[in-house]
Amino acid sequence: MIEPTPEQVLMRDSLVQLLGDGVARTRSAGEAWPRIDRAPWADIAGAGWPGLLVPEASGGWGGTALDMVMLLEGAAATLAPEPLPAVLAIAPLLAACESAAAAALLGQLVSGEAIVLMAESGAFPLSHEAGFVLFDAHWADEVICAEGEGDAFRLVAVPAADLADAPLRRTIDGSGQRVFSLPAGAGLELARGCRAEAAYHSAVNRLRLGAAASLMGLVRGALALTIDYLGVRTQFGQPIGSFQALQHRAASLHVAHTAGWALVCEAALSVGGEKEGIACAMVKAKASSTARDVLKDCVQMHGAIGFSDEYALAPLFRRAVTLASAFGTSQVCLGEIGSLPRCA
Amino acid sequence: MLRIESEAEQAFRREVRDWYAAELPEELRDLTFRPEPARALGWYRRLSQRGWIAPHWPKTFGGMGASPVEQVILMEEAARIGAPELPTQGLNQIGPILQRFGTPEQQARHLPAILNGDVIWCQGYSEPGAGSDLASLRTRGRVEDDEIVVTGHKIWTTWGHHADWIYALVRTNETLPRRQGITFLLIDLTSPGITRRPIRTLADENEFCEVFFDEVRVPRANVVGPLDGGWSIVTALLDEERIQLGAPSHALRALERVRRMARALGPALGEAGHLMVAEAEMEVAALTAAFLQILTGVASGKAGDPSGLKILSTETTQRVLDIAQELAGSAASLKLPEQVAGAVIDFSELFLQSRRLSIYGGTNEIQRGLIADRVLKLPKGKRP
Repeated sequence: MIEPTPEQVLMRDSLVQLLGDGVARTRSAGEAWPRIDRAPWADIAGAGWPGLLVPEASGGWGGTALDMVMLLEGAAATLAPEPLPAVLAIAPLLAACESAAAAALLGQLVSGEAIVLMAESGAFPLSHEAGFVLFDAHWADEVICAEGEGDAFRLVAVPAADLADAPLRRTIDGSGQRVFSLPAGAGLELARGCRAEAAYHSAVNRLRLGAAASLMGLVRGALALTIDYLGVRTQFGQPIGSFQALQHRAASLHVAHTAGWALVCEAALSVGGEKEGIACAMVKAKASSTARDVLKDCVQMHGAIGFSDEYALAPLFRRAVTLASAFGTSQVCLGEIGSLPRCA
Repeated sequence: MLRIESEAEQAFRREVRDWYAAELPEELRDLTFRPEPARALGWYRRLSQRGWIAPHWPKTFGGMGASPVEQVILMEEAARIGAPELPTQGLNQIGPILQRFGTPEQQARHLPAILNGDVIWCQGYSEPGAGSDLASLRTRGRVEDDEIVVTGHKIWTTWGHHADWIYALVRTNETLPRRQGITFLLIDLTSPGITRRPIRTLADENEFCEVFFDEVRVPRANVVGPLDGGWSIVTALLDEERIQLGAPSHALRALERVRRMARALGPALGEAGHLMVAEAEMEVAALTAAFLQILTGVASGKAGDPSGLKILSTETTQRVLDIAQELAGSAASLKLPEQVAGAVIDFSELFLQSRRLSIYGGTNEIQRGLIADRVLKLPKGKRP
C-alpha cells in the first residue's frame, strides 16, 4: 500500500493532536445543537490548515491530493465535528475563480474568519423541487452554489444568513443539513463560463475523494476496535476471535478495507489527469458502500455493546452513514461512471 | 489503471497496443478458453522474442524487470485486444523457484526453455487426500544411490497432460515430522513409469489431470534445495505465488466481456444494468490499485499481504462474472460464444472457468484463516 511520506506523517500527527478529542466535542455539540463552538475552528485556521490545497501563489501550502487523503484518513477517527474536509476541498476552487470577489472570500476562508462550504445540486429526496443540499449547514458562513452549464455556468457565494428560511435538519452524527432553493440572481458572482464549470467539477471531485478518505479512516478505526474486541471477549470459555466464523468475517472486512484504501490512493494519483472524474466517482461509490457494509458487520460482531451509544463504535457508525450520503451516494456515483471517460 | 501515466508509460502503452494489434493472430483473439499448446505456443514465442513473456522476472534471468505500472499496462492491453491465456506454471511458479533455490545447472537448463516456450511445466503438489493440507502427501521417493525412485499419485494437475515436466513434492523420509521429510523434485514426464489421466472439469474441458508414478527413476541432480528440505522452498514461494495470483489479468478479461455485453445491449442495458457495469469497472479499478500498490511495496522490501490480494483478485473476477451472467439474461446458459454486434461474446465459459479461482493456490477459506492468524493476529482457534 502507499505509505504516507515522513512529512505527511508529521502533518497528520500534528493535525490529529490539534483536533484532539473530537468524539467528546461531537457528543457535546449534540447536546448544544444547533449551537456550535467556534473556538476549535479558530485554532485550526490559525494553524493554517484550510490553506493546505491552496496554491502557494494564493497564499496556501500547495499540497497535493495525496497529502489530503493521507491527512483526512488519519484524522477521520478523531470524529472532530468541524467541517475541515469540506473546507479543504473547496479552498482551491476560490483560487481558481480568478476574481476579486473570490480572492476576498478565499482570504476570509484561509484566515478562519469565514467558513465557506459548497452546496450540491439536489433536492429533498422524494420531493421534486430542484435546489441545493448543504451538509455541515450550521457551520457555514458563506455557501457556494453552482447554476447552469457551459457558457451560462455561474458560481455564486450566498451568505448563510440568507438561507435561514430553509429548515436546518439534524443529521445522525450531530451535524446539520439544509435543502434550499436560490432565487434567480441571488448571491455574489464568483466566476462564470466553462473554465469556472471545470473548476467546480474539480472541487466536487475533491469533496468526493476527501469523503472517501475519511470513510476509509473510519473503517480502519472501526476494524481496530473490532479486532481488539474479538481478542478479549470470551464466550463458551474461549476468545470469540478464535471462532472460525468470526475469523473469516474479520478477514473479509480486512480485504474490503484493503481494496477501498487502495482505490483512495489510486484516485488521488489520478487528480489532474483525464480520469480524475471517473476515479473520484468510483472512489466515493466504493468507500460509501464499503464503509456501510463494514461498519454494520463491526456492530454485529460486537453484539449488544456494538449497539450501545456509549461505546466508541456508535459515533463512528453514524459519521460513516452521514458521509456515505453526502456528495453523491454509491448509486449516484455509480450512475455517473458510464457517462464519464472510461478507464483504460 | 486510474493514475496519471508518465510520458514514458503512455509511450509504452501505445507500443504494446500497436504491437499486439499487428502481431496477435486473429484466430487467437477472443478465445474464451485457454488454447492448447499447438495453437498457443507460436504466440508465446512471439511474445518471448519481443521480450514481454516474463515481465516480472529480473533481467538477469532473461525477464523484463518491468515496473508494476508496466506489468499492469501489459495486462490491460492484453485484455483489451482479447489475447489468449497462456501457460503460467513455468513463468509464475517453477521459474521463480529455480531463480531462488535452483543450482546454476538447473537454472541454465530450465529457465531459457521456459522463456522460449520449449518446455511446458505443471505442478505436482496436490494428491488425493492432500489438498489444502499439503504436508499430508503420500507420494514416496526412495533414495537409491544417485537416483530417487518415485511412486505415488498426484491430482488436480493443471495442464498435466500437455506438460513436458512436472515439479513435485515427494516424501523421502518417513521418520521425520511430516513437514521435514519432503523433497522438491523436477521430473521429466517422458520418464518410464508415468501415467496421465485427464479429468473433465465443471467447464467441460480437460484443464487438469491425474498423474500416476510407478517406480519412476529421477536423477539426484533434479532435487531442488536440500534432500528432505522441500517444504521450506514451497512455503518461501507461496507468498510470491499468491501475489501473481492476485494480478488483475483474469478480472480485466472478465471486465472486457462485461464491456462488450454493455455495448451490444446499448439502450437495452437499462438503469440497473448500467449500475452493474459501473460496479464491475469500479471493483476492477480497486483490485488493480491494490495490486499496483502491493507490488510496489514488495519491490521495496515490504511484506505484501498476499492472502488478502489473492482473495480480492479471485472474488473480484467472480463478482464481475456474476454481473456478466445477469447481463446475459436467458443467454447465460449458452455453451458456445456468439458473434453479437461485431463482438465475440462468451456467455458462460468464463463464469464456469472462474470457479477454480477461489479454490486453487490455497482455497480462499485457507487464505482467510491465514489473514486471521498472520495479519489480524486473532487468537488461535481450531483452524485446518
